[in-house]
Amino acid sequence: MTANQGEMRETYPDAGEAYRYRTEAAEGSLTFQLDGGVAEGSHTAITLDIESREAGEGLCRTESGRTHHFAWAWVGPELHLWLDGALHVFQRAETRRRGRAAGAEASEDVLAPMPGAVLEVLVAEGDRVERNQTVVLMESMKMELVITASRSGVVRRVAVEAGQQVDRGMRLLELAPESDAAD
Amino acid sequence: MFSKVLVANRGEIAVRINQTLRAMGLAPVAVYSEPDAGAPHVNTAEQSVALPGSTAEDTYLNIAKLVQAARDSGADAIHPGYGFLSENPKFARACQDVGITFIGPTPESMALLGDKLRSKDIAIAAGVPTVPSAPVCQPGDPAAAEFAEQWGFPLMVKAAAGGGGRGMRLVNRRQDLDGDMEQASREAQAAFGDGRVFLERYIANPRHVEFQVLADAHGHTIHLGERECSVQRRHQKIIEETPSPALTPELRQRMGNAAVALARQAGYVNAGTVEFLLDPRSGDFYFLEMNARLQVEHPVTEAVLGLDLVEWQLRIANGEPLTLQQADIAPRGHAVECRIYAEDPYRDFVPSTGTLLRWRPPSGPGLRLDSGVGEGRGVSIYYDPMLAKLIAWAHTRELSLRRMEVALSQFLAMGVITNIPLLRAVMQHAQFRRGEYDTGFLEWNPAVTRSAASDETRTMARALAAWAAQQPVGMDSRFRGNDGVFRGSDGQESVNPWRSAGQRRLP
Repeated sequence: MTANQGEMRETYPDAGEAYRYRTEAAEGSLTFQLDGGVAEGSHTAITLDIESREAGEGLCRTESGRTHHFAWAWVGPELHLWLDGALHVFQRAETRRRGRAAGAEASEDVLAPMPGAVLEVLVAEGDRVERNQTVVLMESMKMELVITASRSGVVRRVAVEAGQQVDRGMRLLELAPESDAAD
Repeated sequence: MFSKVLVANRGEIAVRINQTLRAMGLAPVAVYSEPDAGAPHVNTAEQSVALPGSTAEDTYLNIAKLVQAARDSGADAIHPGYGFLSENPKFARACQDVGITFIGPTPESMALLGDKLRSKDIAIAAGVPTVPSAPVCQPGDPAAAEFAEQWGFPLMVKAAAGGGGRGMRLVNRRQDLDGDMEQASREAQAAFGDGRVFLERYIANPRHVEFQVLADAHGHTIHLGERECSVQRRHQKIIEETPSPALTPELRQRMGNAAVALARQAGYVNAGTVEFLLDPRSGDFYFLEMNARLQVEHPVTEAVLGLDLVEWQLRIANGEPLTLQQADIAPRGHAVECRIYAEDPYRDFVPSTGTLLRWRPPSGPGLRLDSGVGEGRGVSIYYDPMLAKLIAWAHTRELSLRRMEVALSQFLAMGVITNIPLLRAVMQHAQFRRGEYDTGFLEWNPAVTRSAASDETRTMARALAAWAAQQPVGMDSRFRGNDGVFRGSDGQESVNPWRSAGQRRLP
């Protein structure tokens, strides 16, 4: 019998709060129990027979005898779990916290909200922009996408040019706060 | 017949065309961009030509490079597939100019049908009903205001050169009309180099029903029945089936005859598709557009008729007569197709990029998979996020939908987010099962675009995650470089779209 505990967080399909859990594993059987703080009446524990003959995938059986097929893979800090055709993504709770702290420092960039192509950059370095002003036109998913400034400020850097392909989260512009304009 | 055919495309359609070419004893020649080196469409060809560059503009949309590749490889014909240059008259003409056969209609009929307004005139001349519309107009034109006055709101703004949902806007209020026309015009200018737009009456909640047409160069034109394509997101189809649950034999005959009349009026040669909007309440149908190419969803027609449309495209382009008669066309059973996209069905269908760490499609009776990807391959930001198409056939609609649903639940795809759970939810949906749906299906059923895992499933997933987190890192290490960065087999760094999300949400 091997007992274990951990803290995880679901990030897909729905982002959830971190939860603590305990597991007990013995001879292909796993008992999983969520720690307290979970709403009354919801499903908090399960016992599964797990069989994994190939790396990265396996079968599990519930106590009622139903068989489910699953597979898993690590994608960076994320654990991707495929279960009967649907994807569930988890992170260890502590890695998520680090990620969040880094994100908070990530300044006032205007980011691409989805992958696509830059059609036009409507501002130049040094330009003063107002909150909600259209700064970049993108095309994504065969639609034109209007990118606006999240706040007023001065364009410190233009990071892309028309025609360029960008991925989601890529920086389009760097906005300096207006107080920095003299820098 | 030709001896060597260059396939000016990528992904699943290029693979599928290669298959037919090889079965006919012809040599397929692939072209590929830098991110597509080693892709399935390259490996299934007999020879291949690299196109320098990564973007579509530099590669699969570059007429000069493609024609040069055909000449260098000694190809005597070019198959354009769908999308990219498949409906570009300039490309067809450029092929003609150097003595290479373009597998498709003439550049003239392509130009005619590619223009929504001119194709509408053809429909009217052929006696085919069309949606009332105003001629090309500028924002602020009196003609636009007059049309809006006559038909009221909502109404549609469409690009004359449009297609695939581009340059199309639904206008709900008078005060949005000018702005929407401007935006649609800009979109059309960027996508097609033609910013002309026009207004059209809005048909609320229609079904999208299209007819496959085959026409040879000797004046013989037939239709191959319909495809129902009403399950759409953002005006793009995701699920198609034939026969349509909405058609009576009488309506099928009228619409089929209309499709043939229109193709004849346009002087159309080769395989094409006439799209209609169908008002399911009145049974009225309206011509929407004719697509002068092979369609993404052509496999469902092939499944119920037992024929190969690409083979017929090649034979017709070779000048052979179409030996099929209309009376020979007797569909057998029912077929449904699901488009497998790398996109998030729960976040407005945002495309997902990354490396396909696992890719194991299902198989079984009545199943067909047209796929352009493989395990370890990167899914990049450069091209359409469609990974594959899964087609299920059975004697009855009920059974083919169930075959599809089971197959989707077994479709192992990891590394990118896919729309597979959404497709499965639609297959299970009572309304869809009854065949009672229209193009607003996803809007009317927002629950389908939300994840619906039961409490027990969630707990099971959490338990399995806890278990998996204890296991040694397994096979996915194949794709991990020494620096811990994930790469595709092409060595490209894979970018996870939703890992980088959550910094600053833009309006």
